[in-house]
Amino acid sequence: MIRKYGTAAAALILSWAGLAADRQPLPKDLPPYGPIKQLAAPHVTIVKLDNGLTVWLVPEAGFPKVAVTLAVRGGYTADPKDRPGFADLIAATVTQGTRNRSAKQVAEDLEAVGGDLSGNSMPDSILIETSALSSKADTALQILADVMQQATFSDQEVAIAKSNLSSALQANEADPSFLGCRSHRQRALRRHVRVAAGQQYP
Amino acid sequence: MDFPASRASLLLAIALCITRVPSSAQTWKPPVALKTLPNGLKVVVSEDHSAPTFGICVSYGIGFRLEPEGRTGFAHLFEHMMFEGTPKAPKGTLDKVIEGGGGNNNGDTRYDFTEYIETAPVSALDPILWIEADRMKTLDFAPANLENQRKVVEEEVRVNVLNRPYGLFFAIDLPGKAFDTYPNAHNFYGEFKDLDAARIEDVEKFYNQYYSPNNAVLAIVGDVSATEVFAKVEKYFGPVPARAAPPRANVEEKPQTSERRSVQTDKLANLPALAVGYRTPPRRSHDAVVAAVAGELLHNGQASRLYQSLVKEKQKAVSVDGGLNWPLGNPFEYNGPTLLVSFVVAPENTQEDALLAAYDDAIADLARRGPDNAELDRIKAKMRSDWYDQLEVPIQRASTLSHAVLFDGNADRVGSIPDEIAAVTADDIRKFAATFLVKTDRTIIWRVPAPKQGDRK
Repeated sequence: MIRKYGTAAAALILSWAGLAADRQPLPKDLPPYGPIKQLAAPHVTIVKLDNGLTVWLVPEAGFPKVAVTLAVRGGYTADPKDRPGFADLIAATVTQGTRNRSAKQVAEDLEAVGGDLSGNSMPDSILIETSALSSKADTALQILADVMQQATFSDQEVAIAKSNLSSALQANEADPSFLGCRSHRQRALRRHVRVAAGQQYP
Repeated sequence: MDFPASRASLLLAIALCITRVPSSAQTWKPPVALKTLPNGLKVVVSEDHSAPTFGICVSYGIGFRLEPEGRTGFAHLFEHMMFEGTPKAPKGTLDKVIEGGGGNNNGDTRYDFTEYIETAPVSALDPILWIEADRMKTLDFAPANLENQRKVVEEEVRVNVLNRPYGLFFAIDLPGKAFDTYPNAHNFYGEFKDLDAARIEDVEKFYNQYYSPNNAVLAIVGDVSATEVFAKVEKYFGPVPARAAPPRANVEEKPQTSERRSVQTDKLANLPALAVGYRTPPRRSHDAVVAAVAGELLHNGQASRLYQSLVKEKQKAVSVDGGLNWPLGNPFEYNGPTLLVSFVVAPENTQEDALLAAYDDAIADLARRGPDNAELDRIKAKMRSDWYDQLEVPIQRASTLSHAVLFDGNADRVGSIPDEIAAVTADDIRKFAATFLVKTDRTIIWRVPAPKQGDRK
């Protein structure tokens, strides 16, 4: 929260300082940079299931957690013209209960494996992401599969999500950076403006 | 609403990162090597060879809590001065050296430390160590640098406090009302009159008092060997002279005796919000760990008690945040009085009494029945998992290790926090809630939108 580059003004001032420094030699007793060490690219195993789902497996040794990202094509730029915010509503409600688990059970079952679960709408995809202790990876995957195949979108959960997204939008209406970004996009992009989505622009 | 059937066929890809740790593994501790230089600088190294990079954190034992009276905001203002150059490395050199080596840098000020962090390819290790050692020796104490950064900090206060909805009232005003002594209660971002009153002599005195190697911890995490790092640190930091140990003010608080409540209006926010802060047991007591677990039971994620009760069941809140030492740190990184905080944003036209009654029901239930074993096991798993997250990225692990060494003289606790959490019982939580989460130990601020132009009176 307390950041050196807290403001645009600060960054600007520092970049001027940087320009001035460009004309100065580096300190004479500054040691040189060492040799560049190559990054070993992670080894990715790609598996394709019979139903068409593509799975990438990326082993990462030595750290006891697992992270899963499931990307579904079609994000908020695919919102129907008369229903901006639709992808956000999908992302907010897909995690809120299945035929096998209430929304509360989804949250509790994930908590029990040290996990979390979130849905986020992006310009061209919806991302459902989960992570968990690696010793409990099976359970996290089971819950993710349940959410992706058996989500119920109950009237009650959709109503809560609509109400909360509306309130979040109302709160954002007071946020200068939200207003600035929205105004900029309205002028720069014109065609498709993500006005009702209620999220900060990235 | 139905999930459009066509989306099911659009499943694109799952990306999995699976570790080779055996599935039975329940505990994990980062490797840690610790050394103290003759000048008192403590050096901690944790090797992590997953990428050819490193994170470095130099933490100094000074934060908001110890900044001088009449100089609110000074610890943070001073942090900015550390980026203004030295006689050997004039202004701009630091960014040029770090960014030129492929890295980036920043600084943070908190109640009990000020830290300077960088992450970079290992090829930049020597120049970065040199530049950190250089600003531990002396600074460019030019009055113009202070003028410049005073303006930057005041603008930061305008952006983050004065012209932002809620203005961090849950982080600044809440401790201001909950605590009675200057170290814990003052406005850490700084009153403008105090920022304006700061002189370059204050900067130099503060530097000499607090920015000595014997009041600092240097942590490095990444693709390095501990032996190599110790040798390099000895070379670059060994010549920095030790200085007199800094004074340690008394930061303890007298017990609170009655509930403290106030109402604020907010000219920018559109929705009302509630902040509640409870006094908490002293750090390193078993009760402080119980407080951390209780804070997470109430606030951590969608399974948490306050989210389920206020957002889902009663629909009296839009969002719930909080926990022990929230929002300026995690539940284990502080070194003086701190609060267990709740920050609740409510729908338009919510009445304080109705929201507070629902909030109190959740607290009363925890005090009456405590969690059942399944709920307690769940939050313990989540907290262990969250703690590992804190240690995954080298720069964050360096930061965490440096604070532990700063507060305790060693980093042992970083590895043992999951064990401390595991030792908490349901009865501990129930007793803690009944003893500490009581009205006489809490402070409440209800913040309501000011009437907007055009509103009917």
